[in-house]
Amino acid sequence: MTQNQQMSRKDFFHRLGNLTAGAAALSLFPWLEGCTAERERETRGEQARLGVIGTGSRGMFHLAHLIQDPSARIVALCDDYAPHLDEAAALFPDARRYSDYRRLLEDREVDGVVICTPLSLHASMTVEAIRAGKHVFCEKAMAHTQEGLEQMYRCWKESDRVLMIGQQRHYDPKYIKAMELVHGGAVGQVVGIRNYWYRNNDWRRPVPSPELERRINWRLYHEYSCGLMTELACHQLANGSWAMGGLQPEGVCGTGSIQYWKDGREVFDNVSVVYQYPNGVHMTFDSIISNKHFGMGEQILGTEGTIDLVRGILYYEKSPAKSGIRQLLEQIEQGVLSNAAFAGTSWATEDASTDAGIRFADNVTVNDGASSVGAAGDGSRELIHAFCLAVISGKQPGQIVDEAYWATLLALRGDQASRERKYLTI
Amino acid sequence: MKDTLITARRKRQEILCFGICFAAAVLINLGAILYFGTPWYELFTQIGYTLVIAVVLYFVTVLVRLVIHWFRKA
Repeated sequence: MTQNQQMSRKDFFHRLGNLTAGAAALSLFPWLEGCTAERERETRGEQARLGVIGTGSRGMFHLAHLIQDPSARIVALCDDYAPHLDEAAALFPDARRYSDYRRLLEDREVDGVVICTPLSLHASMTVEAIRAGKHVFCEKAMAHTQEGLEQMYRCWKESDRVLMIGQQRHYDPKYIKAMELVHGGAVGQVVGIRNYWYRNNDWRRPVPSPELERRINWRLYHEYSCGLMTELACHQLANGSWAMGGLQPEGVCGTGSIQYWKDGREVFDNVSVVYQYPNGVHMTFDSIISNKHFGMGEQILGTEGTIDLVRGILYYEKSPAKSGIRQLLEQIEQGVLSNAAFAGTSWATEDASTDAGIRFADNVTVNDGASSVGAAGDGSRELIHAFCLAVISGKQPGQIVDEAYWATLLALRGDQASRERKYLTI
Repeated sequence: MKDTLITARRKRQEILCFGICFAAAVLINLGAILYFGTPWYELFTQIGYTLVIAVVLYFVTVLVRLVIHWFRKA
């Protein structure tokens, strides 16, 4: 398979054109300016020369999109773990290979870098890359510590380089549509935000030899990661500021433990965190990785309705008004049944609404939790394409770094609150 | 099986009976519209419910008439 073979510009136009159809959408989601039809025309025929640092599972996921993207050319690959580098190099035989990312940053032919390394390396690598004059796409979360986060943000702010973070929901058509509905008042006043992510697997990757354990399963160790908060919650917490129109929580409390996967890991295998906004709204994140019955969910709860972001469904609180004759027949039916001997209970379980809801997004794919890499159609392809266009044009998509900054900050503070079991201000 | 003869008089009687049942069903719909304060156009849009109620009422009258007929015969 050769690069640029799999996807035409027309295909991108179609998908992205749908995202950026209205001026209203652009004012609500300024980062979409980076992938409008106008920007596509402006960059037509040009390619972003990219280097990918970290060619593990997530790096390969992005490479699978980049190989099909006509606006990308992979000129360099870097990984200090040879099997991963070999795997990526097999796809891009013309790309130069590096085992030290600093050498890649010295490569003058590289315009932008895609950083897909363990979390603890994000901040330092991004800062070095920006200082080396490269545009940067860095996987989420932005940083492993608040100091790293501030340093990374400041460094980007003082530069003229493009920075984008792997918060793919911001480019997922169903999330964009959902947020348009929320901001258009479809659910009324937002009164709650509920996020959960349940899996039933140990979150481990196979390790060829014991000394590689911490390098390969870095997600399980504090030295490299904040576990469920930075790897899962970070995605979902971004929905909060998006739905609340930029309003951020003022405090967080939480708890967590290692209750089931007692295999030497250091990060929690279950957490529950609650964020409080200044207007009294709460946002929750709940995760367990030893039961997957409820899967994942991201819900915006309003006085008039509820939006299921993951499945692209809008539910109204009140069912549409019934006709007079139907109401009459239902009253007669209820009257008959209430006289029956078996009826008359004074208390009943308050079941969830049985409203089927209105599906506002097509072709919805939901990650079943088995993959920790990514799901098809989740916005990742559009996101990395937007980065390519940004590298070519040199224009930073609006607000996207601030969104990622807040998502990371909330994840880090949530992790701290759950480990210290305290209420922390943000 | 022997042939059954339905007289013209009987047909007129049954049509009249169903007409009365239909009118009663329309009145029920009208009453429901007034009681629940729903729009007047439901007189037409809920015609399906009205027809179903009319048919049910008609079968009730058939049942009542059959019972009366059996009693008289007995």
